Amino acid sequence: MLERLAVKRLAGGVGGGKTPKAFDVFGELQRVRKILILPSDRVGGLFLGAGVYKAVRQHYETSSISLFSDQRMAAVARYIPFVDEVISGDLRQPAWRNAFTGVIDRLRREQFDLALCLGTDCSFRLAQVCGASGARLRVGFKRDDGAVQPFNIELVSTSKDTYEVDQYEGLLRLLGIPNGDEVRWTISEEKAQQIRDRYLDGEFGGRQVVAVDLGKGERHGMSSRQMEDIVGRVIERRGRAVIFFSLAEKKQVNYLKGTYGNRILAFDQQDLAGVAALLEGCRALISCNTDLLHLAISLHIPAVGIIDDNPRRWISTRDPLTKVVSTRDMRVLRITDVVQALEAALKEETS
Amino acid sequence: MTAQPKFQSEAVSDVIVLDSQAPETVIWPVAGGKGGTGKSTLTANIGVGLSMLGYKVILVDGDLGGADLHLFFDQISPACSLSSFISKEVGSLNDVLLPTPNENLRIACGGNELVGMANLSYATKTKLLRHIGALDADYVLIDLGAGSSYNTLDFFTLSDSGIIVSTPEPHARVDAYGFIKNSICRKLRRLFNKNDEVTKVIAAFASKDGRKSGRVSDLVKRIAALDPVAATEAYDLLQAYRPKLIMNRVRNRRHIEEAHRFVSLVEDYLSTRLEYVGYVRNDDKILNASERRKPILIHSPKAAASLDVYNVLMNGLHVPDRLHRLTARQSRKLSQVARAEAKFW
Repeated sequence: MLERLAVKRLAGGVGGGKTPKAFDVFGELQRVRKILILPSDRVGGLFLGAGVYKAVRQHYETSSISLFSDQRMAAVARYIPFVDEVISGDLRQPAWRNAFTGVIDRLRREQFDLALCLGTDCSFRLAQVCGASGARLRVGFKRDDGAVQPFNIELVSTSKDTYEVDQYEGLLRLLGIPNGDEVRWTISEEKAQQIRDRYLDGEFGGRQVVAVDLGKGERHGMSSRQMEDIVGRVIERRGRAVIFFSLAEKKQVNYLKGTYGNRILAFDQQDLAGVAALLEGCRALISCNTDLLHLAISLHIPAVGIIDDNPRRWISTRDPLTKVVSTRDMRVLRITDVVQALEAALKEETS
Repeated sequence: MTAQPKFQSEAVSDVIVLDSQAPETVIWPVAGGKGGTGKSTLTANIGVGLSMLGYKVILVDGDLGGADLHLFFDQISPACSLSSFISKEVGSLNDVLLPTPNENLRIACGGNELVGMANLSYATKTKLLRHIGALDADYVLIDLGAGSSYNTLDFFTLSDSGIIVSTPEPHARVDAYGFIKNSICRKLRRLFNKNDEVTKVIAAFASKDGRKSGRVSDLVKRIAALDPVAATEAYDLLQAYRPKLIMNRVRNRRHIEEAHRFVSLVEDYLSTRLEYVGYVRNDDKILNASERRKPILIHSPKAAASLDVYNVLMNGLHVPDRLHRLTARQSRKLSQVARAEAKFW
């Protein structure tokens, strides 16, 4: 898994003088007072990193821990109790924009001792933020592109097949930070019930409700016709569908709304806490975007992930409630496979 | 700013609790003082418009004793109404909600069949108000009757952002002015019901007609002379009170200017920021729609009055399209949604 830890260079050297002293990584790690954690911005990274936040908090009890989050996820990040503050920035902004440089300046002013960049293939921009943060120790996974070298401590992974969370555990082990117990996400029951009462009544009351995530993430998602087929199969079985969508999928959601009318509920993904509340009211989730998939996994809801990448990286093989439909090309995805996976996930839940 | 570490000596929790925002319910009582200004018509059409924008809407016919909102939804003799709730036939207001062809829109019909329906006892009124406040929807619109009875005022002051519907005629504007003044006095009296001296000053102010009573700012000064803390509370109440104005049956540009003048007058004399949210043109198609017992948005989606309602909704009341189909600038295109919706009615 994690084969070696490569100490690359330390900005400014350590110890001064003409011949710098040998750098004691583990000694430096003992003296850390200010920590910045950058969860992966790729795939439900904020949820996957929960175990790391907790382990770091437990290990560095009196240190100040800041979490860097993309603006879209900042509202959710603020609920994480293991960090002292959340610093958010829009990673989609060009690097020269004031909005972006302002965040970098803010990070530099904080003078972090340690920056932990999670995610084995996080975006170039997130790695850039880590590098520019000016933290003394910048730890991250070795990047394939080699275009930027943002970290001065790189962790080299030998296998691309390892589940992302397992890689994080390996990272913590190498840094001498004991792993904590599993962290569970949940929602405030009273308010969640209000959301469910409002949206899952009427047509939806007493029926099997399946959530379908229209989000494509960075890859090709399913076509409108494929979505229509999946939702159609759910409705055929006297079920109802909750469609989670974002601005990018507005045409698709309107197409589905036009086809199925009141039998589907379209819900904007922007309100992630609301999404979590509705997810808890659903029997299962079908998603080809791992953001919501990981939320469903964290909430222990049966889920079907349709993944055109190596699924072993994103889905734990230890989780019986999550079924994966792996396809190299979304265009040849068979809907029957999705339906079978859904039934298998539901069967696991009942058993 | 540097983050201060929060030292946690106790065991670190294993659970991250996402505290979802409880969905807020916006209550818009619709009143106007004078009868026949189009309150029920606008309530029905705004309700239909909101539901087409993807929101859960409940319309409550608060015109007790003169209820007619249900007629816009082709319900000639509704199976249950507010009178079922008042006479304790049903325990919850949710039980009197009737469906409409749009599943986002439900209606609580007013009851005319109970004698004394318009003169509710204090306890019944309080119970009804409490249940209306607890209705679960994105928007609750309450259609109120004409006049400034305590019942109407209490329903209107359930929210700080009720809608005043007026027409350009002077007597409609005078009645609207009187209604706003009475609603302010009612709110102030409720706030200071245990302060006899202040209550007397408010009663003296309320008893004089129209502008003869002077400015509300003078009233606050008189309260300040008696009780400075009470004056601060009264000031805060006035700051929070933001009713909205829709000018209905507008026939020319001068009428729109009249609306703006009315807003200034209210701000000047009543120290209340009346928010002008738009106008609806005089349109014969509204009468045709009423005859067909349908809201005009469904009967004639492209009529001038319908376009004005879309504009009021998206630009005046700033209600965004929940399904991201239209921006506020494209409010006219809501007619396409209305045309598709009309097939189900």
